[in-house]
Amino acid sequence: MNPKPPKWPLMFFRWFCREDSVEDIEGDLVEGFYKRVKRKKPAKLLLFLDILKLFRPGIIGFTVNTQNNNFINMLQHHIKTSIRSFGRYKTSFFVNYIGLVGGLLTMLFIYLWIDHEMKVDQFHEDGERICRLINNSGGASTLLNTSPRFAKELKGVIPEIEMMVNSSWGQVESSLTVGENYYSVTGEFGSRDFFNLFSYPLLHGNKETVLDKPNSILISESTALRLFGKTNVIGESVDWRWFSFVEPVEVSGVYRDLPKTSSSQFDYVLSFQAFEKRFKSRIDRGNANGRTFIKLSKGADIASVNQKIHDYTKNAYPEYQGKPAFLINYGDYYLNNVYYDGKTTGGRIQMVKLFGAIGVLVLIIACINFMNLSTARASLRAKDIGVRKVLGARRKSLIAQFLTEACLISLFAGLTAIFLLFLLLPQFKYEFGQHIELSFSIQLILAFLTIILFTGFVSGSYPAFYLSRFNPLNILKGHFKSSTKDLWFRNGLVAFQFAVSLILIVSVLVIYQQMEFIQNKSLGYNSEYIVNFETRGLNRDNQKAFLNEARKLPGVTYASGISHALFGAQKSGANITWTGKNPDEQIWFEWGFVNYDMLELLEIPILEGRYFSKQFGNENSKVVINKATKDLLGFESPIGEKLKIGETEYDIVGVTNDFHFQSLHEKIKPTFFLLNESWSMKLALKLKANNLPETLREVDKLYASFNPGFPFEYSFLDQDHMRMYETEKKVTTLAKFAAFLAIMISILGLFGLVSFIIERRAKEMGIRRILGATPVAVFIALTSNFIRPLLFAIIIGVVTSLYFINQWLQGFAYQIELKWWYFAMAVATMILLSLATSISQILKVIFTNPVNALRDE
Amino acid sequence: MRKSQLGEFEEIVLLTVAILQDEAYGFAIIEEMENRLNRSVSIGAMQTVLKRLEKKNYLTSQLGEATAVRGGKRKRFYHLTAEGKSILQDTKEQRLGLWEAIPNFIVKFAKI
Repeated sequence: MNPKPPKWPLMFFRWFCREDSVEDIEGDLVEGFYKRVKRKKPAKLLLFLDILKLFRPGIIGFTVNTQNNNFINMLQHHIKTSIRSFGRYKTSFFVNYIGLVGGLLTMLFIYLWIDHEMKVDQFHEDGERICRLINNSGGASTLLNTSPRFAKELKGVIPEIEMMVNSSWGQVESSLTVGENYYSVTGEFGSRDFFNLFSYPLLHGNKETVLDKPNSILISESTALRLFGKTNVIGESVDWRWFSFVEPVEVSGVYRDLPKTSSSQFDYVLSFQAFEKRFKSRIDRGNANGRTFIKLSKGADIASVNQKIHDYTKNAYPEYQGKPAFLINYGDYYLNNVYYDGKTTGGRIQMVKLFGAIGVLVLIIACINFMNLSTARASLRAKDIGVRKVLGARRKSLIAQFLTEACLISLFAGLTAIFLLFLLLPQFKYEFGQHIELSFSIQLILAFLTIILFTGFVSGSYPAFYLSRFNPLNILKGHFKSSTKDLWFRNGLVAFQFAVSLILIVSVLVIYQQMEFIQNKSLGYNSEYIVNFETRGLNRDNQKAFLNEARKLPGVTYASGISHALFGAQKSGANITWTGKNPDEQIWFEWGFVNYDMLELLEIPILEGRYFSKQFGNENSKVVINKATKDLLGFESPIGEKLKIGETEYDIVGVTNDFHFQSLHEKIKPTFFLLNESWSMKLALKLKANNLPETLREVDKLYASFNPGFPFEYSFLDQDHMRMYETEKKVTTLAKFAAFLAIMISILGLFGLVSFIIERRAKEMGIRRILGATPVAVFIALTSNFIRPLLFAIIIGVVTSLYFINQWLQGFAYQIELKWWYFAMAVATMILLSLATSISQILKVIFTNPVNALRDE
Repeated sequence: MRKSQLGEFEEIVLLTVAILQDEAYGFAIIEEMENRLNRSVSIGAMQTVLKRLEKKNYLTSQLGEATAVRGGKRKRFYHLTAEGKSILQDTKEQRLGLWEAIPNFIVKFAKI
């Protein structure tokens, strides 16, 4: 019976207690413990409580044993000396600091953006096995759509296909009605396995059976709340309206709102059977009217499955053998969405890389400021380094010191950049997309920290190795001289900064010019004052009535409809034949159903023949083609010739001039129009320029009377046209931002260098002036250092930007010509800005009394 | 004016250190307070106050000899400094002054 004080609590105590008190307090604890044992008290428990009560400020002190830990000791020292050196060289500190803030801000923002892009569509389970079936129709035209019938055949012959989901050709703008209330929603179709294949988690419903019935619909959580005010709505009935279809459907499940990282966003999923029922006749190999998603079995290889598809197509459809459908990974598609002849040639990934490169470049420019300023300052710090070395500092610890300095300033700058990022985030969201978020997760913090510290490391590395190399003996004797090699290196860095700035200025100029060109290029039609909107509830029967009413409005010149969105939509048909066609050739056409007046509304000039017109009978069997089609068909005079589309023959009655419905990235494609008065998905009205708001109000009223409950959601055609260039718009904005920062940082760096050099050479200049140097001579003497790197930068910058800009312009089928003055303007901007920064300081030297410079004791 | 005022607990600790003279170390102070004032104090609270008083220069301390009953750990003995003594004195005078300023009948009334 001789209890000992428990070990663990005491060890805990020793761990947290401050160094200087650990012994006597532990003694007190032990003494108290024995006393309590004597008094028959629960000594162990009380000891434990005592220790817990000791765990308080004043007693806790994690002082690391500094005598034994040189690393911590030195780190403290480095941090202290770094902060002192910041204080001493304030100009260069601020130049570095502001530069790094700019660079890091750009980089951190771009990181956020890229991080999101990389995560898109990566959340599906077994993502590496989920594929999409697409068509290679030769050259640059790759169709995302395939025929559902063909896809079903494939499932029968290829055992590796574990699961297949068929869907419509695209999402549909439609409406759901509950009782009297209409809700506009975007919808998706999916066959039975839709929720098995994709990992969109269900809130209510069984994912195995939710899409079994042809009238099953699943709605998203927020749609459920919109429609019913609650989420558990299984069994509720809803009317689904799309175009002229109205169908009662039953909610069979509710899925969670889709994550922002899903490239596909939809408010509901309707059974594919509902789609099939209506488009049965149109779902064949020639009309690629559906999307197909496939999950392969474990271990299956996409390439070998593609080979099988190829073999199958060759036998079953000899006419398509050259260009078979093939599988691509679903998750990869988001970034690699451009295909040429069945192979990916990039796509969005290029933008990710471009953004990444811009971020890195701006950051490097900021790092260079640090390198230049610290090495230029070498002569000032040389004595410091010499003394340290004599006192026994090793090279390693000197390197550590400079790296600490760089990392510390980078850390300050990084924190400021994160703060600025917070402030600027709404603006960035507006420019680059709402999905960008700044939510602090471990991953994000680690990534930011890595970027920041790596920046510090990069900017500190060269000065560290350079400065720590000095021979202490020479320094202390006063023989300090920087070698010409170092000077070259420094000049090289300056040249690099200026070259990058130059490239960015040229890019901004050229991109801006190209965008202007696109906006002003005659597109072959007149998009002004045309409003267009979805038909939504306007179905086959009341469309005609609506258009008739609309035409009567005083502010409306034309009213018509077309079967699909005018811009960006791909609608192609392949099995089109005519007399003299080479039977082996597969040609894809753009086509659409138009209502009367559509071509007149768009003011597409007619070259031969006529538009569709009610004066003639049987217009449904006529076709109007564009000039590209005429050239393709090769008829001398195509009017009266026949075009066989599918199984039906159409008479060519008109040839229009060419027009750009696609973006100017694309060449004009052969296009034809058929007449159909009830197949319009989009309605368009040409309005008179005067009294526009009044007319819109009237149209709104009219729309409401035909479409009760629907808001009149319209857009102007010229705005839609610009929407095709979202990517370009983002690139322009980023390039402007980056160019501005790059220039600012480079100029700041130059400012730092010039002010330093002037400070160092103040005496020299004083002597020169006393001996009679003219202001011009002084000016030349001071600037001659920068002329060579500047010239070098101009050459490099012009050549590189010429190369890159040409590449970029190649992406447009219609482009501006590069003019010499773009480059001249960029160069002039650079030179003027550099002059402006240095001139004030040089003038100060010239206009102050040289005596001031010489008398410094 | 004094630099600072003593807190109630601080004052008691200082007084106890003064009572114990050369034997004032952490645990002894706690015991003494328990015996005299019937007030139990945790080591944590005590040590924080001792550290604070030391920082304010009212106490000094040095380590003593090791004893077996303490598991071989040394004691830290506390002593009043001149400053500590003078602030105790001041505090006492302040209190007395206050007591004396109270009109007599209330004192009598209070004593009843």
